[in-house]
This record gives sequence, structure tokens and C-alpha cells, in this order.
Amino acid sequence: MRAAGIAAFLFFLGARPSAALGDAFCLLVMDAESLVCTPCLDPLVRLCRGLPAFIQEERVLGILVPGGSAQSSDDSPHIRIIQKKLSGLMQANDLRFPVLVDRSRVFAELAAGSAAVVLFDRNRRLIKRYSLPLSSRQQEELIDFLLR
Amino acid sequence: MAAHKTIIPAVLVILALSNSVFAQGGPGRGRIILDEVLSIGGFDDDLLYQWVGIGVDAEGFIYVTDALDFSLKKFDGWGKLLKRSGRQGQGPGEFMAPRALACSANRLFVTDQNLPGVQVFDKELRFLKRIPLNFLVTEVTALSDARLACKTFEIQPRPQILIVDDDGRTLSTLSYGEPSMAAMTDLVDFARAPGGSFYLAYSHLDRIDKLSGDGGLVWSRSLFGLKKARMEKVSGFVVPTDIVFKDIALDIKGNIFVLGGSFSKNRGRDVYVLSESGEYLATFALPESSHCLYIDGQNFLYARANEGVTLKKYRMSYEGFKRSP
Repeated sequence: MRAAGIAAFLFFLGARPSAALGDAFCLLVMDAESLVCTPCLDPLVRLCRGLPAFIQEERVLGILVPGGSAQSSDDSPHIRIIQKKLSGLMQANDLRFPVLVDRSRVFAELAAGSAAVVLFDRNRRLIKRYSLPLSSRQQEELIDFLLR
Repeated sequence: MAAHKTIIPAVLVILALSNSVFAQGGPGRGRIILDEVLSIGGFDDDLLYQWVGIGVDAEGFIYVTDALDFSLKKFDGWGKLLKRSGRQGQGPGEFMAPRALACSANRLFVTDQNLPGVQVFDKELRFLKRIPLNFLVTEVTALSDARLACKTFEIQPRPQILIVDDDGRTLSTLSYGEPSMAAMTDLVDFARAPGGSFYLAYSHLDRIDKLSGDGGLVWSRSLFGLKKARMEKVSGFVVPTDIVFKDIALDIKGNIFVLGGSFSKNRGRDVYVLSESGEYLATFALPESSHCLYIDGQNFLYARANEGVTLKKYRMSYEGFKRSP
């Protein structure tokens, strides 16, 4: 988990180089298979719609874990397909957070076939992990933490 | 005396196996060759994200539902996107999870995985009305501008295909299968022949039925020699888990095309061709796994590619068929 945390922070910085280092942030770790599963996507989309726009843009990073077991190259058909599907999902639902494709599948275990939210504090410590769907209490807890 | 005790069972085993050997690409009478003529949607465009339902009208316009961007789309015969309509929602012309699509002379009918009833559009993708049905519709075929045949996965006392009008009134029902069928084993895809017969491919059973227009069973066929569905406990419910057949379509000569699932040599790609009388004719494989199979009025075959990002259209060439287009 520590390795995942370090990787997550590096991912986050890569996607949001202007982000203040003192901010809490969260990762939305998604399995690429969920892109074709409406019941799997619903909780994810509901969660994102519940997040204020500026939190989505500044404090959230999506990690999309492709299928398969081996590392995929950028131009593999599978990677290109999931990137295409992801762009459709983001546009259709007005999702604003950046998403990176985890070609090395570092976060595969976290995604575990659907989606998870991993919360990090301003010191880059992993605070909590949630599996989707979140309850309303969990969602409030997540937003409160990100707003600190 | 003792010899026949081994010979007869052995012969029976061989006969049982031969049924599945034929269906798995063994010596059918004919051959079908696919020639790709059109490809819609690729990695770098915004044409299709996860197309699900398809219909082609008499003029060759192609209509699809797209589940990832909640839309209904119209393409011309060269694959150019002409119109797009819909967005996520539950209002008129909106979708939560657009699925099946059916075409009549002047209308399009679209079902939603999460909303009961059927939405009706004109050929310019303008919303006309919602057909008020109190069940989720999984499969729909247009019989005319004002009549549909539809199927629900919701539990019913007896498996049925419903014939409804565009006001949602049930005009007639076609019962099929058996009343005591285990949960979800009555799920079917169906195709209707111009003469009024229905052909059913069961999703979870090794069974293909032909029904007459009034619902009488004409014949029933098995392709793999499977006796019953494999059931598993999922979240407290015992349900079938293997997909035996994924879709069914008819060519313009009335030959039956059935897309195989888990038990096919090439899962999601093998297409079994039967005659109107249920005689096995041929097997061919799609280039990629598809969730559905569609044949238009000009006998072109449509299937999925690139996991739903691409729609492929093929010309079919028949060899060795008695009745070919």
C-alpha cells in the first residue's frame, strides 16, 4: 500500500503539477471493465456528481486500470479502446477530474473489478479506502476531508 | 451377446457427440464468407463509444443506440454521422441506459435497461412518444409503425413474447418454453419472419425454437447436446451463468443465424446457420467477438468490433446453400 501511495502521489503531481502540496486528495481507482457495465458505473457517476466542481478539478485524480495481466503499451488496441470509452463517459457525465491509465496495473488490486476511492491527507498518508457505492455518510465524510 | 453391450452405448455416444461436432464447425453443407464493406467508429473519433442496439431502414440508414453517451445516432450508408440525439435522463428522448432498437417503416423504437416502456422516435431522431409498459423491455421487434413484439426479463407466470400496440395495450401473447422454467432460463432473443413465425434463441439453454404465428411450437433444436443450464448462487439467488446463445437473426431467404456464446469454439464469434426447418447448414466465425448480430433488408450482416467502439458491416457470400440470396 505504501508503494501504491507513493505511486499515487507521483501520478497526482503528474496530472496536477500546480496543485498545492498541502492539499488532501483522493484517487478514484476504476477497473476498465466497469466502463461497459452500467450498474458498475452508476455509483461512480453519482459520487462524482456529488463532488463540487473545484474538488473534482483540484483534488481528484482518476486511475483507470486496464484489463489483462501484463503491462500494456500506449498504442495497444485495448488501451486505445478504454481511452476512447473513458472520454465518452467523461463528456456524457460532465466529469472534470483528470484520469491516468495505469498501464503497469499498480492499482489493480485496489480496483478489484469495480471502483474504489482512496483518500490521502496533505502529508500524502493514506487515510481511508472506500469501495463503491458510497453511502451518503461516506460521501459527506469524503467531501469534508477534501475541503479541509 | 456381450459385444452389443459396448457397441450400442458407444454408438449412442458417437451420435450424441456428432450433434455437437456439427455445430462446432464440423461438416455442414455450406459455407459463408464475410467481406467487410463498412466500418463505423474508431479509436480517434467521437462516433461510437459503446454501441448496443442497431436498426437499418429500407433506405440503408443505420441507427444505433450508444450506452456510454446515452444517445441515439443515425448514420448514412457510408458511415457518416448524420444526427445524434439524447442525453442522460428520464425525460422524453432521454436515456438512462439505451439498449435495444427496432425499425419500422417510419419509426424507431428504443428500450432502456433502467426505464420501463419503449420510446418512439421518427427517422430524424425526434422524440414522438413513450409507449407506457409497466415492465423493462429487453428485446423488441417492430411489426409495424404501431405494433411491437417485446420481451421482458422480469419474472412472469409463463414465458411470453408480448404483442403490443403503440399505446401500450397488449394485443396478444405468444407463450413458449415451459411454465416451470427455472429463473432466467426463459430469457430469449428472437427474430420474426415475414410470414409471422418467430425464432427463439435461448440465452441460457442449448435450445433454438421455431414458433408459429399463433405461438405453437413448430420445432426445437439443440446445437451442443447440453441438457440443462448450469446454475450458480449469486447474491442469494440461484441463476444461470453461462450464455449459450447471444443473438439470432434471419437472412432475406429465411435462413436462421444464431450467435454462440460460452460453449462455442470461438466464444461470441461463431455463428450457426440453420434452415427454416431447423436443419444445420453451416458455421462461420465473425472476426471479433460481438454482443449481437443483425442482418438488414439487403442481406448485409452487422456486428461489433473493438469492444463496441466500432460497427462493422459485411457482405455475405454463400457457397453450397440450396437457398441463398
